[in-house]
Order: sequence, then structure tokens, then C-alpha cells
Amino acid sequence: MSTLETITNTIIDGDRNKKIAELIKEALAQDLDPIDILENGLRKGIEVVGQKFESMELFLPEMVRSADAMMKAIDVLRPSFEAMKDGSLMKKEGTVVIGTVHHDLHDIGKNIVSTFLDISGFEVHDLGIDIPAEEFVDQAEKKGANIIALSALLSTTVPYMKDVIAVLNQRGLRSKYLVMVGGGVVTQELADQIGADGYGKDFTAAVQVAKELLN
Amino acid sequence: MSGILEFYDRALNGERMEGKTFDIEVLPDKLQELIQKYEISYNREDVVPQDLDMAKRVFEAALELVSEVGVYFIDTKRIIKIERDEIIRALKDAPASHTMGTGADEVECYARGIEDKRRPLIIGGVNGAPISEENCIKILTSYAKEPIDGLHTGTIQSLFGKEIRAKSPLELLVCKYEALWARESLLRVGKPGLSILGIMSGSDSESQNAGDFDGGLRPSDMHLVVFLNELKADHEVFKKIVHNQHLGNIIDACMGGPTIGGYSGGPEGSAITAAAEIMAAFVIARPMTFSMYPVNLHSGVSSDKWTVWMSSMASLAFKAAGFDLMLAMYQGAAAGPCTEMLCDEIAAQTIAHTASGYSFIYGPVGCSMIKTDTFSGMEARILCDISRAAAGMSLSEANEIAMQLNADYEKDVMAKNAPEGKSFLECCDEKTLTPSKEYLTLWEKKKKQLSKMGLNI
Repeated sequence: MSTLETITNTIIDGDRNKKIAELIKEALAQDLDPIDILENGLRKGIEVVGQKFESMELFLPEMVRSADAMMKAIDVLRPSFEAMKDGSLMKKEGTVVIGTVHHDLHDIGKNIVSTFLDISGFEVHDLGIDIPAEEFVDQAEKKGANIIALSALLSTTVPYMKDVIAVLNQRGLRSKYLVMVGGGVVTQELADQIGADGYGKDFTAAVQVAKELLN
Repeated sequence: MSGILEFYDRALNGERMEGKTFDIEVLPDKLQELIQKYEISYNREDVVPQDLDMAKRVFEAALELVSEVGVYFIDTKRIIKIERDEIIRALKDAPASHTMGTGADEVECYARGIEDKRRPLIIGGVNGAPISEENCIKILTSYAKEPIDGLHTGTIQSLFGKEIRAKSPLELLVCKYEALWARESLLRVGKPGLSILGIMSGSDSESQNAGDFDGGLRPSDMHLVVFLNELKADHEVFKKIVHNQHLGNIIDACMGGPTIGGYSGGPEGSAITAAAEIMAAFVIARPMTFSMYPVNLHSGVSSDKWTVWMSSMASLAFKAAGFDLMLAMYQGAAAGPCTEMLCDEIAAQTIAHTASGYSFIYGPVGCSMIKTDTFSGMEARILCDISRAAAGMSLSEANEIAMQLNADYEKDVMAKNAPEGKSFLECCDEKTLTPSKEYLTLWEKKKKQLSKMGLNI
């Protein structure tokens, strides 16, 4: 099995033996092209993981492990790209700041969308749960995000989505960010009422909507 | 038996762990081990499990899961350790019968066995789905008119035209209105003592507990205490338990899960987790019943065959192991009211859950339980009719019919392609609060189809 195939399989199995960093170092020591390692080793593996999740052959824990392994691998690769002054590593679909809104503690749906955006090529900054409106905007500014993605499970926390848009308006930043919403009781109708730019019915739709918004 | 403060002490002093470690490593790794060790497998075809030996093994696996992994307490990031003998004792002490409601509307609840000839009790209502302020009493009254054994409330969307925000005084007030309006709905149809299941409109313990007042919920009503999935609790959950235990209220413990495709993996791991969540809830909260609110991450509802198999297996696990618990099932559907698909989804689930020994079925609610006012009392009538007809059916008969029904809707459920159907005002007369002629005709047609399939309806 070639080194790239081993890297692909390690990503698929979620790096259970915790050897992904070593594998990447070995691949670099073998003078493999970092772009090749990224595209034909890591991304190939994570694409398989995404497909297997969608077809219900593997589940959330495995997908999160694979995404974590991918991030570890990219950390090892990063200096090579920086040395090459090549923007390939940063060939991201876009940068997303995501979180569950204020007073809402639910995170499974948000975690899935976050992971799916991650493995689909977005740079994702997951802020967690119970995030105040100002924090979303502060972090979007800090991380240079294109998209602010808001999750809410409860109908009583949906109004806090509106607050994020209000803060963006107050600071004159509304046109700078695309705002996506989703979660339990959120519908397209609600998304329209809130004034969001996009609505993701589920994790696959969320990725698709994010890509469409940026294009 | 250990009291709630003893478990809180464990939540303060147990092993410390990050939530992500519990979710991504501890729980799924242990489940993988248990699936192999106890040879739990699902053939991806059946809707109703047939193998009672496997059901006993699911019970054993769940026992091992709870006693070794415990319950994660989010606020302190610590594990509440629960001993094996505490679980067995709690399950033995769990009530096999109980009364709920008052006066002439008092209902005797009972633990049902596998293939039990007695019907499950129907807690008709909206399962916490979003309900408008304008139509709340009308909708709940349309359910109360049906032959239900209890009334399940919903999440009211506004009060005096103002939006409800979590943690606000208005949220607390709307919880009081939820109880008031449920009471009024029952009074309007002459069933004042029927048990109410709530409170749904609040996001925290303070507002949910506010439903208990003179004129609101009574101790004989079912008080929902929702644990967090998977196998988690927090201060809010414990505060609700303390409040309800001190008032002598009936507790309906609920774990908002398991989520198939989530941290517990597929149907096999989720069945073990579901049984484990039931055990943990009976140990910690001493409820009258435990209600399951399963959802498939991919379908967004509970009617796909993986989820129905899993939820049926969770009940069979306890019954096959010889424990007479009262278990309840939240029933949701992808299709909306006044559609054939909704009838099929309700029928498949009801037949499966009736044969597998559930004591209560809640709802049912279509449109994946997320659209405001897309439900009516007619769905409870359908549920009542089917549950009565399915009582006494064998697991194999139930599986045969459920598989036929499932084959007609599974693809649409998984593709999220279900028909939205009609809203409350479109399928129910606003004044008489009775189902439309179109809906009644549809149900008569579906009953004939179900009868041909072998259901004595």
C-alpha cells in the first residue's frame, strides 16, 4: 500500500492508532508533494467519510474523529505550504463562524453541520453553545469569516438569531457577512422572517447553501 | 434507594471528563465493544424485532453501559457513577401500575407485556410541537374531543402577540398559560380531570416548573423531565426532579433521544443507549414512566424502519428481561395531516410499539413536529383506532404489516420528500372542531386498506 493510500485509510478509520502526524511527516520525508498529500491522501479520505456518513455506513463519532485527524494532519503540513508560499492549503471554500445561539444548549445538529462544513473544505470556527449575539460578530471579525452560521433547537431561542443580524446592522457590518440559520424548529419561512441569507434544512443542505451563498 | 441529592453529590465529585471525550470516545467505544460482546445486530429489513434472546442481550448490554460509563453531568463535567445493583433495584421498584388524572377522568395506567391484549393508553396532543397562541385552545380541544387518555400540550409561539424569548419573564408566563389553556380545553369537552402532559413552552426548569399552580397542572398530571442525549443531565434536569418530587407530582422522565446516526451510531448502538437511558432515568428521577423521543439524524423523524426497530427493541429489552416498567413513545411522522402517508407512518409505528409492550403512545404529530399548527385531533383518533386494533397482535404479525406499510413511505421519509398535508384550519372545522369530510373519507379508505393487510380495524 502506498503512503498516500495509508494516509487515506487512516483518515477513513478516524486515526484510531493516533499515527496521522507521523504518517504526514514520513510522507514529507519521502519528498511527496504536500499538495499531493493534501488532495490525494487527506481529502480523498475525508470525502469517503462524508459519503459513508450520508449513506449511514458510519456515524457521528467516526466522522468527528476523521475530521479531527484531518486537522492534525493539516497542522503538520502547514509549514510546508507556508515555505512554498503556496495558497493551496488555504484553498478553502470559505470561512464560517458557527454556534448555537444565546440560551440554547443543544449541539448535536450544530456539531454535524460544523463537521460537514469542515470536511467539505470550509475553514470552520465552532464557537460552541449559548453564544451571545455580540460574540458571533466579534469572532466573525476576528477570524475573517464570510459566513455566520446560527443554530437553534427551541422556538424560544430563535429570536436570538435576529439579535445577531441586529448587531451586524448596528455595527454597519450586515453586508460584510452572509448569515445562515438552521436547527430543530427553524424553517425557510422563519429564516425569511429573521432576515437570514440562507437556511439549511439539514447537514447536506447546509453545506450546499453555504457554497451557493459564496458563489 | 439513593435520593436525588446523592446523585448530585456524585455529579460534584465524580470522574472529570470533557464532554467531547464522553461523546466521541467513551460512549461510542463502549457501545462498539458491547455490540460485539452481546452480538446485537439488525438485519436492515425488519421493522419490528423478532428475537427475544437478543432483546435480553440488549438489556444486559445496557446494564453494563450504565454501570461502567455512567451519566455525564454537563455543568460540572463529571460522571455520575451508577452501580449495577442500584439499577436493578430501581427497575424492580418502578411502578407497574399507577393512576393519573382526577375524579371521573382518572385513568389507571399499567405496564404492558409483549403482545399484550390490553391497549396502550393514548396521550393525544401535539407532543411539544409549535402551536400558535390564536389556535392553541381550539387545537387542544380538538384532541380532547377524541377518546384519549391524556392530553399532551405544545410549545406556544407568542403571548399577547409578543414573541417568546428563552429566559424571559414572558417565557415563564406563557408556561402558566400553557397549563391554563390545556385545562380550559379539557373543561370545554367535560373532561376536567383528564391528565395533562407538559410543560413544553419553557426552556429552563424555572419556567417549566411554573406550570404548577392552582388552576394549572396538578400532581396527577404528567410532568415532563427531559434528560439530555446521550446519557447526560445538568442542573436544569436536576432542579426539575427536585421540584416535582417535592410536590409529589407524577414524573414522566424523557431522554430526548437516542439520535440514530449520532453519538450512539446505528440502530444496534442506539437500542443499547435507549435502554441505558431508561435505566438511568428510573434510578435518578424515580418517574412513573419513561418516554422515548427518538429521531433519525438522516430522516429527522421516528417513522423510518431503523428508528422503529430500535425503539421497539428498547421496550422488548425490559419486557424480555422480566421488568414491568411503564414505557411511553413519542410518535412523529414526516407527512402532514390529511395525507395517506401520515396514516401509514402512524400505523406502522403504532403496530410496532403496541406489540412491543409500550404502555403509552403520545401524539401523533406530522410535518416532522416542527411546523406550527400542522396537527389536529383527527390524528389522535387514527392513533386510538390503530392501537386498539393492534393490541394482542404477535411480533411477527406486527412486523409483516409494518413492513408493508413502511415499504410505501420509507423512501419519501429518507429523502425528506413527504407531503406537507393540511394545516389545522384546513382539515378541521374551526367552530365545531371536528375533522373535515375529506379527512374522514381518507381515514375510512385507509382503514379498509389496513383491514386487508390483516389489522382488525
